This record gives sequence, C-alpha cells and structure tokens, in this order.
Amino acid sequence: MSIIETGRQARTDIYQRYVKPGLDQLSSFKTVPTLGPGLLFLIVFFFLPIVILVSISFQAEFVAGTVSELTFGNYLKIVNDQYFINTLIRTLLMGVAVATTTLAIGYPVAYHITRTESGRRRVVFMLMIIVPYLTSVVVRTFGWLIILLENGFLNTFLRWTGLINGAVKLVNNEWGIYIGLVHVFLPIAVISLMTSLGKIEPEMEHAARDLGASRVRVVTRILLPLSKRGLLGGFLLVFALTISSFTTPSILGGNTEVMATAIYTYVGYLTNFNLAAALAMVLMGFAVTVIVISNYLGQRRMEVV
Amino acid sequence: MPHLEVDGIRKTYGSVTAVEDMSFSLDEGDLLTLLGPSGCGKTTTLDIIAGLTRPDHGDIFINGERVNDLGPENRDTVKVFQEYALFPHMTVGRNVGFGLEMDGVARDERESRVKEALEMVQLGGLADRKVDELSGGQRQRVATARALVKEPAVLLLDEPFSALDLKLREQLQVELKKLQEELGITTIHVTHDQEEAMVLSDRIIVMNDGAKLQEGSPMDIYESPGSEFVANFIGKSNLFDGTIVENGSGSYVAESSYSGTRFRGVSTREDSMAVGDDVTICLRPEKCDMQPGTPEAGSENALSATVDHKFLLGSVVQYRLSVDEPIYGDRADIDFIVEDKNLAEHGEFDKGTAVSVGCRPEFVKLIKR
Repeated sequence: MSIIETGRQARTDIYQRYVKPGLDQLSSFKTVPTLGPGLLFLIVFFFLPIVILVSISFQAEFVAGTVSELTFGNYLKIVNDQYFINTLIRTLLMGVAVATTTLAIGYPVAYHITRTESGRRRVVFMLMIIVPYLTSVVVRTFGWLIILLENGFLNTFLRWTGLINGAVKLVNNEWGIYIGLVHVFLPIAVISLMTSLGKIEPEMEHAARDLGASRVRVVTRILLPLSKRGLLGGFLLVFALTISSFTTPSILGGNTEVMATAIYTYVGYLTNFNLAAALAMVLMGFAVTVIVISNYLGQRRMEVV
Repeated sequence: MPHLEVDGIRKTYGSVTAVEDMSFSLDEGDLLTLLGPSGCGKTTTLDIIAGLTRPDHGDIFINGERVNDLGPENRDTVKVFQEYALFPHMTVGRNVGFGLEMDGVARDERESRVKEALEMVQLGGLADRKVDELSGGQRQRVATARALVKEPAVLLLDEPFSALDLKLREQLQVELKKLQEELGITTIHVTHDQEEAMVLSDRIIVMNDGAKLQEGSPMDIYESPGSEFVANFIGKSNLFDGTIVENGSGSYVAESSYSGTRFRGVSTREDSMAVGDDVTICLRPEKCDMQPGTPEAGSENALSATVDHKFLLGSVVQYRLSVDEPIYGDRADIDFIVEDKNLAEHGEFDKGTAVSVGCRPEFVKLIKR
C-alpha cells in the first residue's frame, strides 16, 4: 500500500469513526429549531381542534368545557339515515367528478404553458389562471348564477338559437355545484400539472415520435406516465378541496346538499353540534382514506414501472 | 442513386439563420459527420432529416423518395439523442423495444430482437434494469441499441458521446464504428469534436454559421483545409498572412505580409491563384522540423525562433516558440507550435534555445482568402 493510499485510508477511518457520528447528531438537533414553530402551529390549530371535534362527536349533548357520557349515537343516526348517506355519496362523487374534469381540462393548458417558447404567451396564460383568484369566490359564484339561472345568459341564448324551448336546469342542483367548482379549482389542477409536466424533457417526446409513436401514443405512453405524480397530486388536492367546499355548493346547489352544507345546517340552524361533529369526522375519514389509498397506489405503480 | 440526399435545405428562426442552403448526399453504408462549433446548425440539419424540424426550403430524399411531408414517426430514420432521452419509466428492455412496439412488431419477435440488440452493444442480461440504475456509458449503449433495433435506413447520431469521459468516449467510438461498418448502416453523425469526427467518418462536412464550408474525407480536410476556419478547427495550425509572389508549376511562393519571409507551398483548393493574391499560410505543428541554430538569411521555408515552453505529450514533444521575425504583425503574443516525434535524432530542445524551424514545400499549405 502506497503512502498516499495509507493516508487516504486513515482519513476515511477518522471521518467514519469520529466526524460522521457527530455530524449526524448535529443534523438531528437542527430539526428541532427548524420544525419547532411549524409543529407548534399544527398542534394548536390542527391536532387539538380535531381531538375536541372527535370528543364532541361521541357525546349526546354539547356543553362547552364538559364531557358527558360517550356514545356512538350520532354515528348510528348518520348510518341509518338515507339522507346522510345520499349526501355523503353525492359529495364523494362530486369530488371525483370535479377532480377528473379539472385535470382533463387543465392538462392541455398546463402542457401548453410548459412547452410554449413564447414568454409573452406563458405570462398571458398564467395571468388568466391567477387573475380570477384575485376576486372573491362569492363574487365569482354569483357570476355563475347570473349565467346559469333559468332566465340567465345561457338559457336565454339557447332559447334564442332555438335549441331549446323551456330552460335547462343548471342551478340549484348537482350541475350548478359541478360547474362552479370546476371553475374554482381548475387553476389548482393546472398549477399542479405544470410542475410535473415542466420536468419532462421535450426530448422524451421527440424521441418517442422519432421511434414511431403517433401524437396520441406520445401522450398515453410517455406524457401521462411521466406526469403521474402531478396527476395524482392534482387529483388529491382538488378532491379534498371539493368535498370540503362550502361557498359554491351553498350558492349554486340550492337545496342540493353536500357534506359541508349539511354540517353548516346542523351547526347553524339546528344547533346540533354533536351530529355536525360526527358528520365532519365521517367526511374526514373518507377523505383521509381516499388520500392514503391513492398515495399508496401511486407509490406502488411508480416502483413497478 | 444516393441512399440519402439533402437538397438545398434552409431553416431560419426569426432573424437567425440556423441552416443556409445545405446540400449533400450519402451512399448506403457511409458515415458522414457534420462537424462544427456549437450553434453552427448541425443539430438543426439532423432534426430536419429526422423530421423533428420542418425546413423552410429544400428537400430530403431517402432511397429516392421525397420524405419532406412524412412526420418523424413515419420516416425510416432514428436519432440517438445527445442526452440519450431514455424513458425513465421503462426498463432497459422496454426502452429498446419501444420503437418495435410502435411499429406493431409481435411480442415474440420483439423480445428476441431486443435481446439481440442488447447483446450487440454488450448489455445482454440488463433488459430488466431500470434506466436510472445505469452508468453513463451503459445509457449511451442503450440509446444506441434502441436506435439500431429498428434497423433504420439512416441512423442519426447527435453528439452521442459528449456526456462521457475521454477514455470511455474513445472506447465507445471505436465500438460504434465497428458496429456501423458491420451492419453497413448509413449514418449521419454530428459533433463539435474534431478527433471524434476523424475517428468515425468516411466523410466530413465542416459547418459554421449554418453554412457548409468544406466537404471531404477526413484526410482531405486535414491536409487541404479550404479556409482559415477549417484549418483552425481541424487539428492545430500555425496560421499567418501572406501574399503570392511567384506562380510556379504546381507550387506557389508566398511572402509573409509582415516579415517578407518566403514560403514555397501548395494551394489547398482546386482553383488557381495569381501573383498578388492574399493567402493564409498554414503550417501544421507535426509537419515542421527544428534544427539548432538560425537559418541562413533569405532562405525559403525557414524561420528563426526561440523555445519558450516544452511540453511532453506522451508520444510527442510540443514546443511553443516565439518567432523572431514579425510574421504575426503586431500580435507578438501568438505561439508558434511545433510537435516533434523524432526524439532520438536530435534530442530535446531546452527552453531558451535558438532554433531554425523549417517545413517542406509539400507541407506548406497556402489557403486563398
């Protein structure tokens, strides 16, 4: 062994034995000050409220500051009432529908923004996405009301063209909620997809075309698989936001209730905090389950492929 | 009929001309290199042949058939990308088989051809690996296999080795050349590396600013650079200005514009030169001889110089000299380079030695400007 090699070996040994453990420890200490504030915030404003909510949902009566007898009564009431079951199913389906639609509409938009060579066009598209966010969601939703009502712009226009006689019912039902939410959450889907599509080298598409793939196959075999993370992330985000959204369903849904509006009814009008808490827990349970399952599927797919 | 013909293609991006009136043709089994600095339009030319870029003007013929209107997926060309562009979500085998799958080749045949292609590039048994588990050299081989497995009429290589270190690059160059000759596949290769071009090519086209400067065999281009740019780009050259003062039969005499030193040499172009024409005098470092002492006053093809630096480059010694006569005009900072292989004959020259540098007339190249 040459002198240089011996020296190098000794240096490696010293590093492994004395320096590295110290560095490792240092880095674990570092996590406390960096994570600390965030962790504290989460505990106070997220974990504690949830614990309180859980405990309320298992009580028959709500008296602030006290804990009465624990019961499954609220949950049994939900399970045995078709109204709640329907509302839950409607909410979850709405989540799937809105998430799928925003991703389908947003995909070409996100693709275009990440691929265009014109800087000005990119800015224009980004502005089109962001500017609606500068207006209150209430205002935007009332805008839809004006468009979609029986005597609104759309129906008037359709009658004028002679396509319909009466009116297409587009508000105070699921359609109203669906249209409103797709509009509200489209930018989120686009932004989530942009991150993912931006990482795909244009060479991938060129190579696929060059090897004989049609444009459609470039999308199905290259772009979609490579943007899977963005699709999954976008889906989960829009799904979670949709099933918990309140403003749009309450304005455009009329008597058509989703979980959030049902919870509001029970808190605001019927002042049954316990049932409302149980409803909130059920909704959260489904949301968490969907997120965990799709995350797991996404991870696994990623490894298999 | 040539196997591939490129006829007068032109491509502009806004006000920038990427390729200007490029024409060449290629026989079956030939390897042609487009050589030039980055941004000279060589990759654009390659993409136009592949169908990835549409030319503003001009035609591409493969086997006599005009392919301008065919998309890249319908052209019988395959490109190996500079960064390989392997699909990260597929295994090595799926990557290599992708082209066949797109062409609708049945699974059984596909698998056997993929296996064959991987063995050809010495990656047999790695079909199930993920792309990100491969080294740079292995990725390059996968990219090559992915292209070759389709047995294209024309193989297009875009700087295929530029991401590799020198040793590996040299090894893969030789392997690729052997493979290309064995398969007899018509190939266009793009590089800025003149050594790579010399190793691989049957023919070289030197490009600059989107235009073809010179076309010929590697030897032609090295021995008879048609312009100062080519002389500078291909190998090392000692270049200085001169004027033709004598037109002999087959040889010319040029006089250095600044020192008046006379050089007898040959023209690098077909067209003849006349007395009074401006030329660039080109002396290749390895074609120069060095003797101790100073040349006789007024002698042709000889310069007096002093050794500034001496570098041992393995098989040769490179000397950097300062020439005593002002052949570079005001620019005294240019080194005159001589590479010497005959170490045994006269030994090495130390720093500070006064030498006489000479060059035989057949090695003095006079490039008309």
